[in-house]
Amino acid sequence: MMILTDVQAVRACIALIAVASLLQSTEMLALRPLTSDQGIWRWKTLRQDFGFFPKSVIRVFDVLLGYSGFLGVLLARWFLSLCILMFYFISADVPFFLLALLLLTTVLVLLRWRGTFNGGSDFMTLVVLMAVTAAQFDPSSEKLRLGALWYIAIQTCASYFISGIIKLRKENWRTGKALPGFLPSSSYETPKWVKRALADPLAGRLFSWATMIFECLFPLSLISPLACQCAIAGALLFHLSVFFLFGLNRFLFAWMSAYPALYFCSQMKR
Amino acid sequence: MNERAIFLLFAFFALLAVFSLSRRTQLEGRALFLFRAFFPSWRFFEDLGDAPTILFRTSVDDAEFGEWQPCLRKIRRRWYHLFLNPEGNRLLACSSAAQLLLADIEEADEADPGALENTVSYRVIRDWVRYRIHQMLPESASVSYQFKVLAGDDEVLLSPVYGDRPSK
Repeated sequence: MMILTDVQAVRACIALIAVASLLQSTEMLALRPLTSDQGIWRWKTLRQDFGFFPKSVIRVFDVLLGYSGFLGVLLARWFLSLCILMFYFISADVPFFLLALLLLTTVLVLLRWRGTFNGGSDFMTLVVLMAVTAAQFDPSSEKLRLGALWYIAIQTCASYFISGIIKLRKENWRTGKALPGFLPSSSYETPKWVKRALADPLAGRLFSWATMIFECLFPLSLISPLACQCAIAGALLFHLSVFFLFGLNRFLFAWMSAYPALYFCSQMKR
Repeated sequence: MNERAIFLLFAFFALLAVFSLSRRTQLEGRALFLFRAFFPSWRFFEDLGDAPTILFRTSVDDAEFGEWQPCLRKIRRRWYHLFLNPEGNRLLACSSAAQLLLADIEEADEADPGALENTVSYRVIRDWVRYRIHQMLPESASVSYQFKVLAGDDEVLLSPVYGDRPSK
């Protein structure tokens, strides 16, 4: 069974969150016209949300979150992600300031999108990024590393568990009607074979219960490294299915960046 | 790093964990709304509800209005979308914007219908409609447009007719 030390786990989380951040930033740069003064999310419209800040802070936001400033923030985030990956590949310690700047630019990007751009994947990106940044604040502190890794692991388990529990409480999930009901909200056309499959009440119920049971049992991944490996394999399959059906690609990479912490914590329980 | 700083960091993370795990954390106020990503909610695919649909129609050069058409168009699935899917994520962001408008409609003061038009959510949706029209009719000299919001089959908002050029 593979052994992961706390130092290796933090480094793996850092590398994977840098990959997620790089991909997210590339997507954002491709979408930059939407944030221009002729786009959908214009700064002059959105700054109304920021009215509670002191005027001096709003002036800073005007510079950073206006179209040209925001492009700079996106490019900085892209470049910082790349730098962090380079530090990882040359086996050097990733400096705290790079992670802190990546966290800062990530928060600025989220503010520009009225708090979140992609919901859950933004939440998990922040969970991992905040934790590894704290861990790198003092790389010699084992306590900080353990705290960061456990924080990520607990949030990861909570993400599946809470999602499973709230589904269990819903009748349309228990009866298998919810899953086909969510498909129209996808950014993709649902393949006919999927529609046909889920139209069968038995299949709908089967997939719904498989999802709920998997999510509710996910915290058991902390019991042992073997249980964790099985849970991670199941989770990857789950996220790939969600991507296939709903186009939610960011979730896969955001959650992947949390798995090294989960695996490390599963070893500690032994 | 001293013990106090470590304690504060742990207290901060513990607070975040408690917020995240609470069964129903209502975030009130504009500040918390903007910083809600710090308080993750893991309630995915909870309610089928009535997902809002934005429909719009246009009139070019004072002709009659055309048919209502959806603002969102589904995209074709591609394998590389697993890594980069800007268009798919744009559609998801537009859906979220529509959800925020629906929430504002539900909270709107019926005695002051004009107030809704000044909300950020409303203006974002209006700009989305303009953007969409601009994609469709880039050469149009004069376009009037109107949009409406459906929650399920119910019409919950019908905008006034706007007469400005879509590119503005």
